[in-house]
Amino acid sequence: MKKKTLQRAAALVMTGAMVMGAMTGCGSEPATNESTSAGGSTPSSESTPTGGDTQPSGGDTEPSGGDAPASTAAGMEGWTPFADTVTLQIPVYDRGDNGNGCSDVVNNYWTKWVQDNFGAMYNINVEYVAITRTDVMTDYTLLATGQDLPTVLMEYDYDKLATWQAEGYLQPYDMEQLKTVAPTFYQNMVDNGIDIYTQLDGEDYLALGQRPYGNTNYTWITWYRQDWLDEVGVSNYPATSQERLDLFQKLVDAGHEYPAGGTKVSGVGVDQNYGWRDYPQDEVTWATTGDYQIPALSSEAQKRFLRFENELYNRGFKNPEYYTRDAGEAISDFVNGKTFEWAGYTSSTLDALASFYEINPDGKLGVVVCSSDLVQDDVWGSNNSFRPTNVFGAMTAFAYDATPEEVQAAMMYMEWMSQEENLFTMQWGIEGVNFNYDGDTPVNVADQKGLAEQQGHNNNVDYWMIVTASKTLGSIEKDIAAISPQGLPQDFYEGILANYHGQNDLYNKNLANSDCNFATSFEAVTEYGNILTGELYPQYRDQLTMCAPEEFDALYDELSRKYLEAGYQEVINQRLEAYNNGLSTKLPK
Amino acid sequence: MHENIGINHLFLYKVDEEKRVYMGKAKRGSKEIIVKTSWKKSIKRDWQLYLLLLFPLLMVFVFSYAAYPGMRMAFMDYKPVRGYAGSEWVGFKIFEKIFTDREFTKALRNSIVFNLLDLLIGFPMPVILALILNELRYARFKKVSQTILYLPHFLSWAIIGSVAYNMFRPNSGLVNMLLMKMGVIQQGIPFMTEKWHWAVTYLLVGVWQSMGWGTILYLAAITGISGELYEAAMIDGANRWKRMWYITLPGIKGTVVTLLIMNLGKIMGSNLERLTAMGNTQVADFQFQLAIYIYNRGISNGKFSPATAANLFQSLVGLALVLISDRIAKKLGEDGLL
Repeated sequence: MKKKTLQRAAALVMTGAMVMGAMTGCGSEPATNESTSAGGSTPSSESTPTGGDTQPSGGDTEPSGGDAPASTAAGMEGWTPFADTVTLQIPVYDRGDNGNGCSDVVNNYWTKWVQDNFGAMYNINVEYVAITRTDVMTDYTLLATGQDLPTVLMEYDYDKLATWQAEGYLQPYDMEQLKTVAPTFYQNMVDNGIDIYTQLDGEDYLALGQRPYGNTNYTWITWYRQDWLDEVGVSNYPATSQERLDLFQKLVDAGHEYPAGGTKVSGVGVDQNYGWRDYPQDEVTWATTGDYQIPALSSEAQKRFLRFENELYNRGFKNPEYYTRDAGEAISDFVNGKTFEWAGYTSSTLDALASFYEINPDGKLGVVVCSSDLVQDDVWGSNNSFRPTNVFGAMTAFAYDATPEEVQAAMMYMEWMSQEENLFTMQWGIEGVNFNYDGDTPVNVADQKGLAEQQGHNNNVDYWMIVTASKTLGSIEKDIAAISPQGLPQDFYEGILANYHGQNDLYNKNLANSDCNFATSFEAVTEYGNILTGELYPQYRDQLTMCAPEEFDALYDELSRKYLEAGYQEVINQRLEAYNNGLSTKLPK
Repeated sequence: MHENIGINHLFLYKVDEEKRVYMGKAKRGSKEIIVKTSWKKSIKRDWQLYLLLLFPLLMVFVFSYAAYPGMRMAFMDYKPVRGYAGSEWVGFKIFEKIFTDREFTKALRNSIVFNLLDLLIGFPMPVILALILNELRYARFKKVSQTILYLPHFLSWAIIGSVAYNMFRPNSGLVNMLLMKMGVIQQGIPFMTEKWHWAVTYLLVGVWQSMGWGTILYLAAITGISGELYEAAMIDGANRWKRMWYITLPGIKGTVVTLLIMNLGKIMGSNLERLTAMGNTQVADFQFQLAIYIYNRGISNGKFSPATAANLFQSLVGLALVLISDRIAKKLGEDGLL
């Protein structure tokens, strides 16, 4: 009897808890974003800056009561501390093994430095939120689901911001408020001509950081084995894809097994086909399939790229196990002297190259230099063209549920980080610890491992990206000197500089174009983007890489059809519609 | 004949001798001694034990029940920023959508086939291993063996996947290199890179990873078997094989049935970590199971409603299988699970 009572009581408690849970949900209901679309505006190069034309979107972004600091004067002089502590959450990329810097990205010397020098001054509690660099969308989605988005969302890719806006993750902001609270940041947008990209669906959502030399991709460098070229009697790095194939054949003949290496593809931005297109580009093809977010399987350029991969595989130049190998193994292969080339972002502290010289003390490297003249052929396309990055750097937007105080604090953070002395310290660190002067040029200490003040990946870039995508000392020569790898047996300054000039020349000749940006988001990209990029493309591209050469054409057609049916055709259609409606940037005339 | 008589005799002997207090239903053929008590007295007497129980109960509640309200998403067009209140109720539309999705059917088929095979190959192994371990007489060797066998359970799938690739890659894998050097094979066996080979590797690695840990419950059950039974059996002339067959196995039969029922509930499940760590594009046909479907098409795509619907379907089928198998077990005269 008693036992039954106990059972009943327990059952009642459990049932009650479940019912209560079902009634109340797991957490508080978020406020619905009620902002309505005010129609599209085109962020084209012909557009006029939106500047102060935009009206505030209601009282949502106005500071409320005494909690917000008074802003009687523009900029930092007008700031006073918040009456109540405001928590400001800023995303920061966690790059895991691929990062070269402090391991704890949310709690280290520099996060504390920001708190001490900014947060503490204005009663703001600055918290960093780690975002997995290789899985940005999933991380933000999970944060949104937990109603735990950071105060601002940041990314380099326009598509991602457009998707977040479409999903309702963002709130529009008041441009006048940005001008008042963060005049330096705002002026940077104006001075760099990027304030024309702030709007999505007719409202100001994006605050854009600058990107010095955005018309090139000069920090992305390919290093190759010059000593291997010497060994097989080739004087220069191949200028065309056909010459590359010939070179690989010579290297294999000389006993270098799988000189092209190879890794599996994963994430966004894989298998870019910029170097396989025809230039000048057809504008419709560029607008509909010319981005790097979703690989353009079914396009002619992608076909050329994959046919080249197929040749590499079938002729024994590519590691036949490439699809089981990750990026870390590619670095190891190069460091251990097994592969001909390796590409990565250059910085003054480049562990991969330091390790390479340790293991290959007699090794001699070269830097691939982009020619100023386009090399175009019918079989392989343009060969040396490339993807210029956007003219803007990171895009920052405010979370839909950020309070007016939090938005204000975020703008203050943007302004504070834009101040020359703060930005310099974040970028270069402490003199004598993180950098030393060579004349009047700061040079980072190559090996910062073990330092309490060790900077994060690429000299703290993930903290100051909100303001600018790369460091600048005022001239390309100084900037390249600052990011040329230091402390190595070879100096790569001249090669990196020549590569920049080559890319710059191609860009100016309209033979390299930034991706098309749309002032609207696409339902098809949200619906199918991940499946196409993460699931189908890696499978199809590996089938095409490993099929017999004579089967390639038929297989490409078959898999292209499947890819289009799986959603890519819908993506193309929606982009075309937006392009026809004038909701996209255009190729320069 | 002689042995059978001996065993029956031994069971009777056990029941007569053991002075157990049964708080629940009396077992068939056993004597029931009921101690009258109240829940207040029980708690007062054993409050430390109840206190200990509180923490795991809390864990079960938080991790198994607190998320239940989220199941509403399966019946809504759920948008994270709108929350439950702002998202639209759509009835069974989400289920209709996933059931007509060819990819879901493919994932479902793969999950069921691989889990059945997992059960077929993986379930008997811990039982056999426990029987073998139980027969080891040299204590130190037994302990070392057990530790080595338990070890894989504590390795993450990321590590196991990485080790598997290093062992079984067609050209640079240790096993293939060894076999080629020995002249056993001319060309590497695609253990990880051809779907049928991969299926076998995947299943065997799974068995390797779990069988040691799986022996714990059986070994614990074996320790509950009275040593006097073995002594009596030995006196009656039962050899080691007979003792294993007529004492040990019947002694752990209840545990085997219980675990079998529990494992049947996992027929619809799949392990994302295991699939991801061991998969690659060449085996995507088989690798594409429900966990991958739910993660790729749901969570990473921000589509929580289809993900929840697929998961709910998975759980309900699993629950149905447990209930059905429990009923069957009882019909066959076993205790069952519930």
